[in-house]
Amino acid sequence: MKFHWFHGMPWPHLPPDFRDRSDSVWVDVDSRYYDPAVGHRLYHEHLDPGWINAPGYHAERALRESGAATEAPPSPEPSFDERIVQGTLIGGSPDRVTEQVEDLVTRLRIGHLIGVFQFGDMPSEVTNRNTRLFAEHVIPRLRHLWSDYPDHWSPTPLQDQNR
Amino acid sequence: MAELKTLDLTPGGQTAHVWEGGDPESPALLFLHPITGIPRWGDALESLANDFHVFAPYQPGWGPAKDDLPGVRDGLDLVLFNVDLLNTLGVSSAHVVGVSIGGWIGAEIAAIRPEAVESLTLVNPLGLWSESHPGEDPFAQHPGFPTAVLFSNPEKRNELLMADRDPMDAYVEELLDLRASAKFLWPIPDTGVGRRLVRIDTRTLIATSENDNVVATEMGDIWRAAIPGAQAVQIADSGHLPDLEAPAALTELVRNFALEGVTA
Repeated sequence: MKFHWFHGMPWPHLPPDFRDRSDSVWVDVDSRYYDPAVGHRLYHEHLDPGWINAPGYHAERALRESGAATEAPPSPEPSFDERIVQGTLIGGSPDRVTEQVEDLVTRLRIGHLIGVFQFGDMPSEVTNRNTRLFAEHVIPRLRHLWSDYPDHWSPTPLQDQNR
Repeated sequence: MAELKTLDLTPGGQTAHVWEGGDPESPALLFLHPITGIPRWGDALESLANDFHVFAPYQPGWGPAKDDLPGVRDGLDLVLFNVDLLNTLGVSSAHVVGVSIGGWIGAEIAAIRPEAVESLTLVNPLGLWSESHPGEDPFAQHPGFPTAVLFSNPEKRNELLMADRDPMDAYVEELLDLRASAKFLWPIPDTGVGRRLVRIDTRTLIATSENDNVVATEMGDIWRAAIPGAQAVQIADSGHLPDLEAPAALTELVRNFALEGVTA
């Protein structure tokens, strides 16, 4: 396999002439030596907050107010709990997740919600558990929200007489 | 001295923000800016204005025209914007100079409206794709210094693009200009212009920069071979943006080619 080592490394801490001075950033590792748990931890430890600003991802106001419009090193990584308080992360037990999603869905008047339960290099067993918990313990408790509104967007089967 | 004007275009109806400078009696020149727009009326435009009546519009989506991006969908819309601009200005034909993404737009104008183009100078043009010479991806850069790759030395981004401007304004404009560019060039900058280059019968010069990370110098020959009668030259000591890095070399090359037909 190819392990793209610097992909998730904090670029602000690399010298600007890094590309000139380094012949290659590719490291070939025998896949037998790759530990997904370690890869997952490294991915998150070194995920650079700067990457949130790819061209076109954000409106002008978001660029100005996010504080990301700077070359300054990012402030210390907030903890898991701090992120939940900030509202930048939904996570925790199904009860806690239900509470957070219900708050967003109600305040933002969300009729359709698309969930992505795999991100980064999350191992498949964790992804499966994540998806299952959400499906079994969160969705049933939220399905009633806005259910009295007509849904113009979801495809529905043709009536029998029209098939 | 130059002036930034706002015009309502006919017949398209768009609003154009255009720098105008130079003697109105001089030959008209349409400058089509690169990915990075026009950060200021800089040395290259000032020098071109010594010999030309220069018009340098912000394309819809760039700089002060940042909110006009949804109004354009493809290259043809950009061509018509510039055709309408010349029409509104009462300029029947102009020397066209396009840098980077502006090179693509210039080539499209020359292919579609040949009578509007006196001469065509394409500098590090984007829009043709070669698997052998892909260059760096200008849209996959670190957002802290997203255009550094466009310069021969990343430090020059601060010196030539960001200096003397409000840091936040400059940064936001940089990212919004990239957003506009990405609308037309992402993910692979193959715009289809290659199918139309054979139509260009205007005398054409292709210039590539020695140290361009994005458009390899080999691309100069590919463009030259695709445009009948085109000539190719190199610009020394510059990255993707010679309008910022090598304004003297760029303007001399344009002046010699457009006015004298000389490429040396």
